[in-house]
Amino acid sequence: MIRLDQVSYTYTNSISPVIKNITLTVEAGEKLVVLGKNGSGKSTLARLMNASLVPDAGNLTVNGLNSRQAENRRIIRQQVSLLGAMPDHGFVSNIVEEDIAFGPENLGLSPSDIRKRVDTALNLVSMEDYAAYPPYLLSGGQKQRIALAGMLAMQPAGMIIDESLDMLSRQGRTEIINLLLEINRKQATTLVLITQNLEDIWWADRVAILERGELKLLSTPRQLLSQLQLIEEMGLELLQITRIIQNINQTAGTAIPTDITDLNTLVEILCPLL
Amino acid sequence: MPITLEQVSFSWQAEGVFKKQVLNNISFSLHEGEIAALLGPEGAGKTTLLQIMAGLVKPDRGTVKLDSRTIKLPGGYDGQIGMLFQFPEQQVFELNIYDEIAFGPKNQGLTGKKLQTAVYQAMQSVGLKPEEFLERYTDNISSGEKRRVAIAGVLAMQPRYLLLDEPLAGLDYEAATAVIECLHNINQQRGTTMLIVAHKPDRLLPLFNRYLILKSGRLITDFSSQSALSIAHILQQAEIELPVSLELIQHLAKAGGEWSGITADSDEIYRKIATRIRDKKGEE
Repeated sequence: MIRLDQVSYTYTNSISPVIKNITLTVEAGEKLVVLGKNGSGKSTLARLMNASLVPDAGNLTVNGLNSRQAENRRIIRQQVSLLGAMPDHGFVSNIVEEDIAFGPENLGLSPSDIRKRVDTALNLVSMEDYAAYPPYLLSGGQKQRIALAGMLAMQPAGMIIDESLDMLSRQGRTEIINLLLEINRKQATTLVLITQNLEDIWWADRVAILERGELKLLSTPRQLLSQLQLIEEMGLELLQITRIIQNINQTAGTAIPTDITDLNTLVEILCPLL
Repeated sequence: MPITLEQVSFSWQAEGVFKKQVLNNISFSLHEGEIAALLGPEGAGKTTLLQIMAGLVKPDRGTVKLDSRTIKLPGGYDGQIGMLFQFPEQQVFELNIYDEIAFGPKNQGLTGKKLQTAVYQAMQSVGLKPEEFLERYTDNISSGEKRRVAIAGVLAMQPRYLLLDEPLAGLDYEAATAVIECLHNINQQRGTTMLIVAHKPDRLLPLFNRYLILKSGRLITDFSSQSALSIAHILQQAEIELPVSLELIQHLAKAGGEWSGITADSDEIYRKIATRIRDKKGEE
């Protein structure tokens, strides 16, 4: 669905490129995680993918439409929605339901269809009680839910979620990720989640790791989680359970497998040793 | 010399159709030198509570006292209480780092040598070497450095109390490590009292000696402890998901081990587990 061919990008007031020669294809219906530390180019990549930015070199196409051509960009943005980390940056109305209706309105839908989409989207993110609220009265996490509802109401074929779940609690994040997975399953929506958190990658088909603007590695979550050294070299945070196992192994000279992600399994291994 | 909240309540739009009670009858004291956690689910009122304590929002009812003197709200603190907002780097607005950090103390009336000293000391407290960073541009540093510049900007006003809203949000591992270390040093060197809001408190646990938990605007827990098992129990009761290290200790204790003396520091937790494994190996 989204095809990057040797894409590079440099911001106007900057000397070095933020994205360097990336070639990557995101298939329709795929679930991809883009992982990298602060400043690795993740958000720039996200903005290239929905034609908010246009590559300096190389080509980016969405369903065959090249983002270089200005007339394609509007269509690309309709097909691929981008949700950023700061929900406040995106609110256009003083009322939650009006804000969510803004996108569908611009698609030219009928009032009854807009109503349906708004209600469904609010329901999906469990915020139906807040339809009439002004967004500024909501907490950071609640605002992120509303921003997500705004994206869902557009029913885009591809969704890019750029660290947009950071203000949610762990339960809240799991709830939202499960919701996204369900939408992916039912509607074959392409899902790109941008994060620096290894806790958020378990569900992905593939994980792309960015380092200083380069595509360092394409891997599956399982493969990646076993490459501890690589994760640390990237400046990423190991899963807590992995860090604990690694530290116990180092200090006690044990050989507990570091790819265990389930706490009960670890407890079963530890108990006889203690 | 504590800061004390007495029966503080607050509603957004108290007169309007969207009246929403955010805080309900909150009372507690924050003691000098303490680092307390303010936890709770989304929309529990955490940020609003910080805003009231920082003198930015006036409560409907109740008082805030500083050293047993009632504070006129909003405002009226003389910079004794500093607040770090969520994503503070978004409000960094000066071109270079010196000017950014100097903005607060300048407005307090500091000039010349005194101003310079305040800025230098604040930079040192957050681990940014003045000789390396002073002249650099604020848009030319990493996000972790930017977060620390924002903290230094608050510190330069020499507040006795520091209210921090999600100080680690959005930072990668290294950047978060630097900020945690910086908060620890500020508390140790300056004796600054802190109240820290965090929805994912895992890495901050070693800093905390007290836990305040909000739920639907009520203070449901006010608990002082460093014991991993007690904290795990309290967090669980408040339906806050446990950090993995605490969950592990809880499981091991349930399986019959004696772990009551261990603190909520994941480094200490793995070290204790490893030591016991080694000791047992030695016995065999």
